Amino acid sequence: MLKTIQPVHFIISFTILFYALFFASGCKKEDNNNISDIFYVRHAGADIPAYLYGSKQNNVFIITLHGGPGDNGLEMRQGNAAAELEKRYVMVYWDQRGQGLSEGKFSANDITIDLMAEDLQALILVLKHKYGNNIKLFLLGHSWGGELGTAFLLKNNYQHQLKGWIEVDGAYDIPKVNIEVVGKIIKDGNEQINLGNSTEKWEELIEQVKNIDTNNISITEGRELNKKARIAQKYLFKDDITQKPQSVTWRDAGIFYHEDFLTAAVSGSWFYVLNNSFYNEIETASYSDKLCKITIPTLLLWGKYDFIVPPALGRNAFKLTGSEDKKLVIFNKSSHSPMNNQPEEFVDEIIQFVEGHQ
Amino acid sequence: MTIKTAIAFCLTVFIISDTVAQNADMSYNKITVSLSYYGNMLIKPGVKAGVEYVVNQKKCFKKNKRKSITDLIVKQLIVAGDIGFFWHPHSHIAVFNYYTLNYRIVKPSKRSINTIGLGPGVYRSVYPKTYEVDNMNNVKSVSWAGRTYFAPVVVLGTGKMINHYWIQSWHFNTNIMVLFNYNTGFVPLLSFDIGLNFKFNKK
Repeated sequence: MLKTIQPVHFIISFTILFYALFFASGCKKEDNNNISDIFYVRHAGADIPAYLYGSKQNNVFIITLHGGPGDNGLEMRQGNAAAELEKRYVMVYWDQRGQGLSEGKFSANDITIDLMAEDLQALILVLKHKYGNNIKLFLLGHSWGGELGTAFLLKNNYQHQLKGWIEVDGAYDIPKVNIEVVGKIIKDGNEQINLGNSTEKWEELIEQVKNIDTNNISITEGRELNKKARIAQKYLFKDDITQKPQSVTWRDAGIFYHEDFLTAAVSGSWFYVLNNSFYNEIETASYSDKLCKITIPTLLLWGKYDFIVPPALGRNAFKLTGSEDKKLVIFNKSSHSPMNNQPEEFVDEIIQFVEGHQ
Repeated sequence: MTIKTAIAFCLTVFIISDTVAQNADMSYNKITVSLSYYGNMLIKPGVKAGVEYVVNQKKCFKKNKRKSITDLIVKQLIVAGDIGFFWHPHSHIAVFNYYTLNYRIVKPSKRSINTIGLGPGVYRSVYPKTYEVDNMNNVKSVSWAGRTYFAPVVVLGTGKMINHYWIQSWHFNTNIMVLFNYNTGFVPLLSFDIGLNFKFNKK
C-alpha cells in the first residue's frame, strides 16, 4: 500500500507546485504606474490579442506594428530597446489579423491592407475606451508594419489621433524597395570587396542581381531579392560591419515562451504567403506619392546596412513626408532592425522624439 | 523555473513508474482512466483526463530467435474519450474534447505499450477581457468570448506497464490536433501529455 501511495503523493505535490508557479507568474501586475494587461479586440471577423506592458507615468502609449506579414506582436518586445521603453511608456504589442495568436474566421479574399488599417483603428478605439481619451498615442511600425502604418495614416483622418509616427525601416513602397535592393547589393557589395570582406560571396551575390531589369521587377523576383538581401546582411554581420545584437536574456526567453511559433508560422503562411491576392497587394503597394499627406510629427529610423528595406527609402520618406516636424536617423552599425543592433541609440532617439511631442 | 519544474515532473513520473513496475503483473484491464499533464508545445501547461475501453484484444506469440523464447504480443483496439484544457500564459485558455479509435501493441515481456489513434474533437479557446468594435465604431465588452473549432486529432503514444494495485501504466503521448476554419484555413497544435492510466476495476 505504501509503495502505491508514495508516487501518487509525489505526483500530486509536483502538479500543485507546477500550477502554483504558472498561475503565480501569470497574475496581472498593475499598480499606479506600471501596467501589464492583455485583452482581445474583436473586429470584422478577427479576434486580435493586444499585450500592454510598461509605465503609465506619462500616459504615453506607443502602438507597435510588427513586421512580416507573418510575425507576431511579441517579437517586437524582444531585446533591450523594448525593455528600456517600457520603463517610460506603455508599449502596445498586438498580433495583427491572421498572425501570431490572432484568431477568427474570415475569407482570404477579404483581407486587404485597408481592412488591417481598420483593425488598428479598432485597437485605438478600445485603448481610448479602456484608458481614456486623454492618452497620448504614438505609432511605431517596423518593416511591413511601416507599410501598414503608412496606409493607416493616409486613411480618413486617422493620423490626427496620434502625437507622432515612428517609421523603422518601413516598407511603404515595395516596388521602390526592390529597385533599391539591387542597387545596394551592387554598391555595398563592391565596397565590401574592396575592403576584402567575404569577397567571393559578394561577387557571387552581385553576379546574381546585376542583370535584373530594375524597370520591370516581377513579384517573384521581388521575393528572391528579399532572400538575397537577408543573405547580404548575414555577410555584413559575419564580418562585424553591423553591431551584434545583445545576447538573449531571461526576459527574452520569457517572451519567447509566451509566443507560439508553430501557430504563428502556419497561420502567417495561410494569411500571406499562400494568399495570392493579399500578397500581390502588399508587393505592389506604393505610398511614396501620398506621403505628402502625412503631416504629423515623424521620426524615420533606418539601418545603414538594411538591405531588406534600404536606407534610400528613409531618405525618400524624409523628402516626401508632408510633416514640417520630421527627422531622419541612419544608424551606422545597423541592418534591418536597429532596435536589435544599436538598442541604446534607438531608444535615445525615440525618447527624444516622444518627449518633444507628447 | 517553470521549465525545470516540468522536467522534474516528467522525470518523477518516469522514475516512479519504473520503480513501481518491478513487481508488475502484466494483466491489462478493459477500462482504464487516465490523468495527464497536457502541454501545448510541451510548456503551455494543462491537464487532460480520459477513459479507455478495450473493444477487441488479440494475443499472439512471436518467436525470439536470439533468446530462444516466445514473446507474447497483445494487439488491442481501443475507444477512448479525452477532455482537457491548457493555458496559454498571458493570453487565453483552451478547452478540448476528443474521441479516438486507438490501435495498441502491448509487449508484456518488455512492459512496453505503443499506441496510435485518430478521431474527431472539438476545441474552444476562451479569451480574457474582450472588446468588440462594430461597424459604427461602438466598443462593447464581450463576456466569455472565444472561438470553437472542429479539431480532429492524431495521437502517437508510448508507455510502460506498471500494473501496481490501481495504476495500470504510464504514458507519453504526442498529440497533433488540427483546428479547422482557423482564420483563413487551419492550424495544427502540437501537444504532449504525460501521465498515468488507472484501473477502473481491478480485473
